[in-house]
Amino acid sequence: MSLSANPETSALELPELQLQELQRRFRASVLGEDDGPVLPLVAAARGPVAARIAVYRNTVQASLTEVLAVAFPVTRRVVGEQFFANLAGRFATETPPRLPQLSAYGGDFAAFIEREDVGRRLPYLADVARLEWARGEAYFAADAKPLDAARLAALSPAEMESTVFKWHPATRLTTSAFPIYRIWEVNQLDVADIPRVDMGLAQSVLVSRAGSRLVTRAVEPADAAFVRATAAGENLAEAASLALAVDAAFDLQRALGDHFINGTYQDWET
Amino acid sequence: MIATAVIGAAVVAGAVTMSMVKTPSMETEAPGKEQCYGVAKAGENGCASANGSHTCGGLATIDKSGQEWMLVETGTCLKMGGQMEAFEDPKPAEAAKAARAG
Repeated sequence: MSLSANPETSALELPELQLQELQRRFRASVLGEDDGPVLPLVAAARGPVAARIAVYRNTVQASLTEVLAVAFPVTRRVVGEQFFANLAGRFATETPPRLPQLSAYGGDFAAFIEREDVGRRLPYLADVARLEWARGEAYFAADAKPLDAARLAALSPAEMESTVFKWHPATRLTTSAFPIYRIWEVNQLDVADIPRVDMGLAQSVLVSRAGSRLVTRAVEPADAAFVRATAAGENLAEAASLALAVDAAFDLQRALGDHFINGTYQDWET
Repeated sequence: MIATAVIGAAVVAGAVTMSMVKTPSMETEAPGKEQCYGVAKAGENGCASANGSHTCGGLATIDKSGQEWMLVETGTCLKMGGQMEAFEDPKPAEAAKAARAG
């Protein structure tokens, strides 16, 4: 098959317009089902044109489905391979890539799940997909120098309290009304025996990068409030106050220690 | 301010000491697993079919026709107990009303 105009079709005379129109119709065809508009513009050396276009459609849709399967392995495991393939295929048709970079594809998948029937049957699924997307974003995020805890310790108490912690570019917080960390954890590919999960537990998950390692961990509601407050530009004292308002037993020292270890924050400018 | 009493140099110093003793979490995040993840992610930058996992002709599962059976979840959601009955609203009538309104 060649994507040149069928010599017998002279409706589109200008080469440039012809190419644009051909591409537009071909794109519609590989993303959907209707070959009608593109067929008259395509010449095939042998075999039916529709069957040859189907090869392209299958390749496009299978590629996008595979990209989503790589980006959302837990979501896929929760619903099963076949169901996921169907879901991903419909997503690909409805929301084709906007960037020529497959790692950037899938950011709208969680919202798509929410609109689908499965989002009502499995109300936690969209948040699980959000967590997986957060991990993908963290993986590809820019590098930055992590916060130097020793430098912080050298500050006076007043300076310390007014310090604003800046999120590392890889840091992502996903908050859910469901136990998304637990679901993510028990659906790792090496977990064979899936336990029953208490769906009444609400969890916040913090994704960060420590060096080249991606860290995925559940954080207490108070710690989540702390992290959220720092994202909003609150200083250390204000963020700690907000966390303590959520839980008076919030252990700031322990939480800070974990943030230092796991690279939640980046170094500040002087 | 409550926090003033809480954030002392001691708290930060304690956190610093702690971060020097502990190694990065988490136990579930084995280095080997992340490496595999990285390899898979890198593969995304090209055409996914370049990994040879399928040929362009053999993709019947992507065909949407006659695949209604694929619309049933067969994954771990059943084992986890996460089906809708686990989330039944105490007032089902109101939930149904909300669903209709939405």
